Amino acid sequence: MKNYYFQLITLLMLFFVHSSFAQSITISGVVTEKVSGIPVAGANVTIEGTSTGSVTDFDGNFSIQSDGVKDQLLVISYIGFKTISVTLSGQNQVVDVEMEEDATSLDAVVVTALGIKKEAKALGYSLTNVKGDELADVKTTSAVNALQGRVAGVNVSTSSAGASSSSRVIIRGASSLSGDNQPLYVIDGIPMVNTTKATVGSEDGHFGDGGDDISGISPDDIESVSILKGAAAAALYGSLASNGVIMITTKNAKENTGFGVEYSTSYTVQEYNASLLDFQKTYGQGRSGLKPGYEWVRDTNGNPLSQVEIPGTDAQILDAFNSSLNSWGAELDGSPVYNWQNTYVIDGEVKGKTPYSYSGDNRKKFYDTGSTLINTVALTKGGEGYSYRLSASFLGNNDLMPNSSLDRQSFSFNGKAQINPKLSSTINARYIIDKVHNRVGIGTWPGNANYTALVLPSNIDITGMKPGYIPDGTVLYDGSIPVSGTELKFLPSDFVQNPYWVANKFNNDDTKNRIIASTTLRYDFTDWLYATGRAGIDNYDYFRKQVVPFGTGFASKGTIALTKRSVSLFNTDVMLGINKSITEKIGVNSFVGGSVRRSKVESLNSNGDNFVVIGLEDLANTESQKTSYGYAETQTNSLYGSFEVDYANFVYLTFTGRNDWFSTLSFPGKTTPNNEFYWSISGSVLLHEALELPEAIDFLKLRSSYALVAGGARLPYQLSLDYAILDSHLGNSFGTINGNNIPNPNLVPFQKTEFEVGFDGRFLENRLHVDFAYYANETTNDIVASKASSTSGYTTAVINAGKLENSGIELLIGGTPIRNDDFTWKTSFNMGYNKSEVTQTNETGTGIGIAESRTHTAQIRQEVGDEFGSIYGFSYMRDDSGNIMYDTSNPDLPRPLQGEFKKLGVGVAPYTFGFSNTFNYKNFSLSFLIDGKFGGQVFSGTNSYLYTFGVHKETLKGRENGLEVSGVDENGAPFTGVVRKDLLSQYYSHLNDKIAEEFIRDTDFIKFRELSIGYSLPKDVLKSIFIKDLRLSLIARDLFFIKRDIENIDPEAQLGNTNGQGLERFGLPATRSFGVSLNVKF
Amino acid sequence: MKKTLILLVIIVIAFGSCDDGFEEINVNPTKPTQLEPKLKLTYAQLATNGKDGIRYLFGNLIYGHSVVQYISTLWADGVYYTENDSRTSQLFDFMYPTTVKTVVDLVNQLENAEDGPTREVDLAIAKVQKVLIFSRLTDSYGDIPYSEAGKGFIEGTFFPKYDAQQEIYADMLSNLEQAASVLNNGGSSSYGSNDIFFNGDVAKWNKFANSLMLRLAMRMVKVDPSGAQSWATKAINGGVMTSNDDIVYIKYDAIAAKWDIQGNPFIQSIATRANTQVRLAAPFVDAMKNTGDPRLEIWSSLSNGSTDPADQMGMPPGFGTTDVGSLPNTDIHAYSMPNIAVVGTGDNRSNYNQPFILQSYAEVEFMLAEAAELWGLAGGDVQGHYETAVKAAMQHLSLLNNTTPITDTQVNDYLSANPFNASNALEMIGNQYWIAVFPNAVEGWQNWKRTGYPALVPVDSDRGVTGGVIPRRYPYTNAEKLNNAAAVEAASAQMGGDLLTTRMWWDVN
Repeated sequence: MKNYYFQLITLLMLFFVHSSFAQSITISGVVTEKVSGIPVAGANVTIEGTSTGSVTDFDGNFSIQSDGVKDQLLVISYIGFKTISVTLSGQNQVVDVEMEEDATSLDAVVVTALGIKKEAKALGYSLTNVKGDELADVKTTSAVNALQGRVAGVNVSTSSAGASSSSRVIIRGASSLSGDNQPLYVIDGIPMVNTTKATVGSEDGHFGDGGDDISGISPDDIESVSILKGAAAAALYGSLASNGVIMITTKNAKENTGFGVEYSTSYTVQEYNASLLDFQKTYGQGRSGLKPGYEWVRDTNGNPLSQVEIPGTDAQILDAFNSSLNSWGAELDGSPVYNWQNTYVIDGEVKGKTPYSYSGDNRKKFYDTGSTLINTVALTKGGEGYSYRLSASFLGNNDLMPNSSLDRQSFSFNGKAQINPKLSSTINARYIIDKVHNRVGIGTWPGNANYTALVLPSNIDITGMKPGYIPDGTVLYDGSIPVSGTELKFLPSDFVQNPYWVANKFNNDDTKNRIIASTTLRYDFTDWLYATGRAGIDNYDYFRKQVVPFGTGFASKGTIALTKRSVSLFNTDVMLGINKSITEKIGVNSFVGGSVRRSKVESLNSNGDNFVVIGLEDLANTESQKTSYGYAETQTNSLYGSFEVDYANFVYLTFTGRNDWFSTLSFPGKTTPNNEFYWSISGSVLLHEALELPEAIDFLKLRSSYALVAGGARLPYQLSLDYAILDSHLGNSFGTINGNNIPNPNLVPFQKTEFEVGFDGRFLENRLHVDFAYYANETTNDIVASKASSTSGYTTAVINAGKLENSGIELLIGGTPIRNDDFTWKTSFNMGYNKSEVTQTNETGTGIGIAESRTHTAQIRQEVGDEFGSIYGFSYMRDDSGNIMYDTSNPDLPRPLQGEFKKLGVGVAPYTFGFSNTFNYKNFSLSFLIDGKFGGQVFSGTNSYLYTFGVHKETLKGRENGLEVSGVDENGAPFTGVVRKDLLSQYYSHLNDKIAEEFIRDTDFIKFRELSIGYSLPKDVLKSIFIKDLRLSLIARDLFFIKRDIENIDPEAQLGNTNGQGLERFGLPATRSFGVSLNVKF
Repeated sequence: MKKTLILLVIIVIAFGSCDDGFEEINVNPTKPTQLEPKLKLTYAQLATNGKDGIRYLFGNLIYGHSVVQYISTLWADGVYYTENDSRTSQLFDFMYPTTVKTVVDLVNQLENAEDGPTREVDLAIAKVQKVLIFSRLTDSYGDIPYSEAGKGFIEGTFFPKYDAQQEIYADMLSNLEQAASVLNNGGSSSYGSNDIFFNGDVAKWNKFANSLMLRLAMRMVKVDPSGAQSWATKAINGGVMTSNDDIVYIKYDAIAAKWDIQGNPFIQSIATRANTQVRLAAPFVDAMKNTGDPRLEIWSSLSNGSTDPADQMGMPPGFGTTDVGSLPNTDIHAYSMPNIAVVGTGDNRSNYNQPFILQSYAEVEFMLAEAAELWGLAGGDVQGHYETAVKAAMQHLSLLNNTTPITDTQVNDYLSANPFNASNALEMIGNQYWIAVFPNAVEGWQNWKRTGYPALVPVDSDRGVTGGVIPRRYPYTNAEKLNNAAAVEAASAQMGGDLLTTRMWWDVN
């Protein structure tokens, strides 16, 4: 109960409105930004030496009433701008001023860990701020995706499962070999939940990627995002911050800015990017080089001579039906052949043969044009001592996959009030409703429409499969009558679905109702001593319904799965701080505090199978049901402190310390520690203040830090073996050991250390900005789920064994090459390089398998000496000279021998860069972002199956006269042989089954990521109408690739957002989007 | 400053003990910390035949049944001896984390339990169950993890070594001997109706322990004749099965959901595939059709339901999806399938409760006939044991639903039409054994490997990787090659290779 004190302390909140009166003369004016002419809202306007002053409103207007001000100075100041002083006349006076950006704008205040505001110059570590506008300019369905290419050292990727898929954000390399490596998200000072609902393993995925939680935050509500990259920056968030912190500050009105309305709308369309796919279109459907319905006439040695029709129409039709997913047929010649459609006689209409010729791009025909509409309206009000902002945001997306959509509504309230001169408060609350209809399948073939759309032979028109189910009155070619309304199958396999059946009949819906709310109370005892208390919750209810309908091949009577999950995260902390100048030159800014973080997840899962009444998709309408309940609770308690001292405003030194206690490392009788103390030190020196530097140097800061972070296990219940009752059989319950993970009663916290050094410089009157950082971090005692042999009875073992190092550099070069009254050009280039190395996996040095390809030939592994997440797989067997060795036992089908299982690539690209430019000419602006990644690879499951089915261009080789292969035989003797042309499919599918090396591709790319061309209404026009600001933009995203190595798929395609990066298989194809956006302020 | 002090006091109180209640928080409130032995036994028994129906389909049906020519499936793979890990790995990869883990844990629990009235018997039964599970694995793969298997938590062995099959056999036999010596004394077990084989009947477990010992002994006939003879003698003296009442079979449930472990996986996989993909193989159909075997009507029908023996036609082995055009008769509905009345079709579950026999009295009698032939054991009456075996094999089919029991008259007619030929005893025994154990392809395959009967003709296919030889084992699995590489490498060196054709220790025929 003790911990609940915090909640009590921090829960009361009041709004207070002050008003003030004055008299005498009036000084008024408008404050604008010099270059753009945009009004500066929130600037401080004071009469020097007095307490009289004001703040500019939304339009930059201010008005001060006072007396006796003659010859006094009116001081106009605003963070990031040069302060302006104007001598007053003592009469009513209009003072319009234009403010100029200040070269030393690093005096800016930034929000650091625990929401502590600090002067940026005092930071001994790198912290990157991204303005909300940058994320909201070209909006995406998840705001964090817009970080890609914008921040050095931040690597963003997404799974290729469409608009509702999850994102992976990795800062300065992964810090755990198998744990969650995503950063902690903090919104308005309160940590958020960000979990991924479902990820795709080696053999599943028809219900796709389950999406994540961070996507729920509307980009229009974001004021700024601070990325705390290093351990020192994040040390105060403790164990959760070991992967870095992304702090989101949401928008609020500024005090004394009056009433305002903001409206923004953005509409984009997403289209399938056909330029990536390059399949063979020469050979059509069929097997062993035959047209459908044909067979070979062979010589006595079995060599194919000529093709003749299989006797009997039924046999021909059956052959066409059996081979409808194989592109191993004959050269397309336009001749009439049977296809799978001839299997069905619908309403007595006997379909004739269709021409054996290219039927057009099936992807283009199958996928819809997607669209995304985002509307946000916000009301703001800022008065004396209070401000608030209310907003509502609506996002509607129709994905490329027919019948897949995403709807998100979010409502937020941010308020701030000065209750009395010593007590201030904030309250932030948002309610988010997320609805996804039919998440897109990925990975597998059963129930994944992408699979069929991709591998279908080029002569089969996919639209012939509409609407995906058997119409009434259908008779099969052999006279039997199929059940109408069931899946219209186009091949015998039950495990490959008609894509329209999936799109039209499968149901994969989820809804999430979420409340994120926090409140802060701050009491200033004196002007240097304060206490704050803060409490926040992130609670959501998630409901998912997944239906495989009655009549589906692989589940002929259908299944239904319902999941209800309640997630709650509660955080609270209290702090006592001082901020005081001890002497004229020495200042102290310190605090101590404690926090409690409690998380609870409860879930109820019900599955039913075999629907009784066809068409009624209800749990009770199934022949059997199973229900299970899951529970997970964790708590972390912490005590922490920070001590910062500065000398003469040019040397800053900060120490932090924290102790965390982890429930996940506690168990009755456990003797090893469940807590750990850790600390950090960081410092900065402002050289431009300390030394006489050349005039060209406006600002130069050196910084360095060293930090230690410890962390507990993320998941509870990993310390002891438990059991599960599985079910009952003939009246007897049965059960066994729960799960496949070997528990570990001795788990202790892991540690991560990080060293960072860097500089931040501004040159040539702030025209050039260079920021550089070098970092090196190391995780030890990593809590890993080490892969175990399944013969141990388990598939993983949780151990404290991993060691992982990352080191890298981050470079930002930005500037304003051109700045004059009409035209400015701002440019920014950032790049990051991260080198990771696994230095220990466990005592025996055995590698850890993270994820596997469906073929089980490639695996993402952590091996000592390798980079994080290396791609391992079976290679070609080669002799000493590198010649491929062949199995020559079948002279008609020589096949490469499977060689060593070895490292074939790296799943995470070490180099990332982004290059953004903004041009302003009068009221026009143009900005674009180009980004890229280098040095990574992927095991392309899509391409490996395209080989198997003869769709890949590479499989054109050998179609005419057989494929000549040469190398050495089993004994190392030189060998040249020919794969008989009718056995080609066996050869190519052998590569798929055995040789991972063949399908490793470089994922290097440079993408033209974003483009925005905008026009703002001129201010002289605005003056005469009620609109304060209006901007119209043409926007585009993922326009084209400047560089790309991989064929057929997007180089960014990934199976999911897990540590198993470097695998992809049958996601949605690459897209590009175009649209317009409009932003208006009233 | 007073307020400051108050706040500090609150902090200290709140964190007076910073991990209050943490030990309770980290105990999963939804999971027990131990189970009664009987709950584990049920699961171990159910999972002996595979983790679930889908695994059975991919592994046993598509590959195993094809290799031993019970089934010819249009779904390629096993029918022409390709390498396909996703088929041949199923038995292995999904047995260890399920039934092996459970039975090893059960044995460990009982070994460490305080002595009680049923502990010794419970342990003996668990050991027999364990031998049954491991014998199916080693006979299918050769050298396998045995002594260290399933002990990831108990002993912290994450990467078990592969034991030589010879040593595994020695240990399995000695376990059976120990178990039988306990079970022979009677007593009672705690398993009750959770024992889905014998309902806790200790006498039947004793017979099974000896019958399983006899099976293992006969496997060694070629590689270690004297060992085989001595273990066979021990088994027979200990008391093997004496009637069809002693048969070991898994009782299944008709209300099981599709692919659930509570339903017969053979029936589940056939039922969903039968219409278009699964056909009985010609050698199996012909063996019954040519001899007027009454079992043909029980096992075989056309897709239209006809069980008329004259209508039945098996599909030649070696035809896969891409060969349908080359079949002698291109209409797949002309070929027989597993009797539609017995297996059902589609997702109709009414036949999911068909029993699956793991060892039958008939098998035991066939082995007694062989032991009589080889060593003069079991009274030396080869023909008597043979005929008892044939009769038992025909009549135990009455365990199946929707079948008409085969009468004594039918049996006698069959035996007189196909008289025992003493000069050809081993072949006759082997051929009958193969028919008798259908659809237990794991056993049918082993006995064929050991005896060479029936004389199956290998499929002649360009596509196979065995050079026209019927596979002798399953290769080690890709998952193991990834996750336990060193052990697999050592095992394949120890065994002399890791191919479909590599011979395991006892496979010297």
